[in-house]
Amino acid sequence: MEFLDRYAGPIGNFALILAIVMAAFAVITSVWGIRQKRGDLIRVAQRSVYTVFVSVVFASFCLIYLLVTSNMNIEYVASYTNHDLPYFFKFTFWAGQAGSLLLWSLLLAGYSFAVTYRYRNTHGELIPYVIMTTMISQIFFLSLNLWSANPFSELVTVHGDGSTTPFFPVDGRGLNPLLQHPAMIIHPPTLFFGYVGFVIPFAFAIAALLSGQLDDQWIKLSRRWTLFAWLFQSAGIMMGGWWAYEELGWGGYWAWDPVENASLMPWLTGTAFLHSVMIQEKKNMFKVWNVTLIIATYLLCLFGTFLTRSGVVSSVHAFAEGSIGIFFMTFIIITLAFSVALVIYRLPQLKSEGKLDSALSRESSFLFNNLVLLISCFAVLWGTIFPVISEAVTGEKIVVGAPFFNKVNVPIALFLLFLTGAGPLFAWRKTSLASLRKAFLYPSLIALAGGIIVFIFLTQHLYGLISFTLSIFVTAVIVIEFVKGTAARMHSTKENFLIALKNLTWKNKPRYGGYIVHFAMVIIFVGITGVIFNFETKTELGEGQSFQVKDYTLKCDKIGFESNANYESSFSVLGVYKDGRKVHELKPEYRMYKASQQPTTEVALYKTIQEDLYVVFTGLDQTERKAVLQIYVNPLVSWIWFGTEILVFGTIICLLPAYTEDRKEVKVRRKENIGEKI
Amino acid sequence: MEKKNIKIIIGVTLVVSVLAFLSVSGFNEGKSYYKFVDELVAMGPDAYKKNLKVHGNVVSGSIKKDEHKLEFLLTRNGATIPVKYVGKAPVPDTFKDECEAVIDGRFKEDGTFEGTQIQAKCASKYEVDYKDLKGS
Repeated sequence: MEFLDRYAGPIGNFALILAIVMAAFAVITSVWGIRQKRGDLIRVAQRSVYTVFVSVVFASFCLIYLLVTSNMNIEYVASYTNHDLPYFFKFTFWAGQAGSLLLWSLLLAGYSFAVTYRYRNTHGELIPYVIMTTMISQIFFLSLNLWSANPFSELVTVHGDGSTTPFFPVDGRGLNPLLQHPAMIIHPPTLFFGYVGFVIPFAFAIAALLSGQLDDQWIKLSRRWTLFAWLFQSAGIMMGGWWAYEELGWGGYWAWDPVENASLMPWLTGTAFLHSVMIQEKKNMFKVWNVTLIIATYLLCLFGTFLTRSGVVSSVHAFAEGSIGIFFMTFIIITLAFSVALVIYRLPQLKSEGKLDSALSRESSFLFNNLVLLISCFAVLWGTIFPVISEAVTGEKIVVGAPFFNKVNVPIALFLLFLTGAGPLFAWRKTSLASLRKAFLYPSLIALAGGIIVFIFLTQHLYGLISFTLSIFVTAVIVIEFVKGTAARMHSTKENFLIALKNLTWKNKPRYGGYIVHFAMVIIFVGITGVIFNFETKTELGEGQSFQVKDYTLKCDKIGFESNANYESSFSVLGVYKDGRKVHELKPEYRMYKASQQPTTEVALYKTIQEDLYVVFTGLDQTERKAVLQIYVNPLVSWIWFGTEILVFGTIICLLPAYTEDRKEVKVRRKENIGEKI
Repeated sequence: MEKKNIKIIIGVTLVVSVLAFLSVSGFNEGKSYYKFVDELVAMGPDAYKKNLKVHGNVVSGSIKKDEHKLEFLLTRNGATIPVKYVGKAPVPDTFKDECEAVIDGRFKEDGTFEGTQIQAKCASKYEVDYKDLKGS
């Protein structure tokens, strides 16, 4: 153990060096192998990828070991933990710059390993190029890990004569209290799984361009990987919102902060890509568009990491500035230039074979979907980097706030919601007006009736009204799709309703899984629309006093203090009463963390499906011994998190292996074999 | 050109122009000038009509806070202005003496800054370089 305590750092560092050497080796052997058509070299490249993965995993374990054993000689350990930090948070090595970049490397190596192993014996025309592409990114990130933000660097004392001895601080600075939240443990890796995951479809696109295999093979092969990355990206964004909502204490979950925007941009282009590839698969169109979209998506993933990590745009995430900005920008520009050159080089072969047959078709609905997703992405990008651009160009820094983002994106979001419902009603190629009228009739009538009810009983807010009405419309479309399909199946197979519904979904997972994701988006939209009913107020309560807010009565039962190794807190215990009945007890807190001497407020939440009661303890009135409380009533917020769960479920259905008749036959045959044995 | 393409082009043009219009108007509504305290003071009367974000450090001991109001002095590069916070949201946990703060709001003609939102970043131990510990 003593050996490990002393050498875990250097060993981890060595593992990273080994990884970067092997990654470079993988690039050389894969390119050489495919140029010379030598299978043995490709095998070497594959094994190099495996070695990279194992090395980075090993390095990560070294870092975790150092964190868990609180080896304060390591700068990273001293900077982000302290002895008394719960173990739970010591394991999460991605709290700081160096650790989160190591996480990037780790996930990238993991993805590269998975894709290399999965296709080790197949698709020899593409995979070597895929290896080359992912490994070049890997080299970039490993070099950041080694030379720009090394998690293993040790603290030393420099003496007068220039000699150095190791320096052990008594304790570390502790983890930023805002990051001491369960969501913060899973949010960064989830989001990174998304960010990094887009490297795979990107690598397939580059492989297709380099090899000249420009049919839809690369799309078919990368489909699942894209969906996988998209799933994590979506979940990661939502978790970020959840963390902001529960931890930051300002009553909201999204603020158009640069780092939030950074995660949203690749999601927007990634979503556009998921839709537009369907056109290439069905109609052999949009080839240039698809490679461009996936290249843009991966570049935005890199750009997002750059924004988060370089401190170029100030943000609540407020990460320290470092030297990595310039490395990142250089890498992004090189990747961009290389990709664009490649697309231009292959332009003649990328010409569409199909064409748009009609303005009223599924294709054109996808076209509009892509158009507005891209405009939204561009607007977000523009607003995010405008402060930097304006300062560079005019010398005057102009910051663009939420009104801009909302004004552009709310109508886009509503238009997308409309397309979510309308898209599936259009047929491929061309839809006749008569069939369109038939398809639209019931959903429109239902939406109209629902809209009128919403208008009379709920809200006259324009966007709110549109959002709720469209939500009803889309739900109606999806339900009708399921019911129609199930009914047809019941008719032809004589299955009962539930079995037919299950089989319908099971036999066409991408389609019906997609509908489930669409439905999830509706739920999320409803939740977000709840913002139009938000209510907030402020009060001060001494023990025994009560306060009425909306339908709730808050009664302050106690004001107290507590202290543990990690923090000191003052809090109040509030009974929540509704219709004279006690429904919940809340304990909003104000904590002062000892190691970092930073205060935070712990939000207390009473969540129901209808609304959240959100109470923040903003301080203590010492003289009168009263709790100063900020109280928010946020309708429908739970719907957002619930919708996210449905989204995950629907995407998993899309991700499951496609149903094939063969599989069924295998099963049947297996059953027959078992029968024989008995 | 074929008819169906014209329809699509009209549709695309319509969508793009509506969104372009919204962008421009939203941009003017949402933009604010980011100034350090001394830059703000140097702007003169120009500053009164603009949405601003002013960046400076809270003067130690200047925070006057009671249940209804919050006032403090913000300083940077030798210039100091009084700030009156009129926003509804609670001030962030990191807001305290000497912290670095960015305040959204308007500069009034009486020379006070009326803030509607406060972002604060503490020169906490996180950003302090380890130099102060080294060799101790």
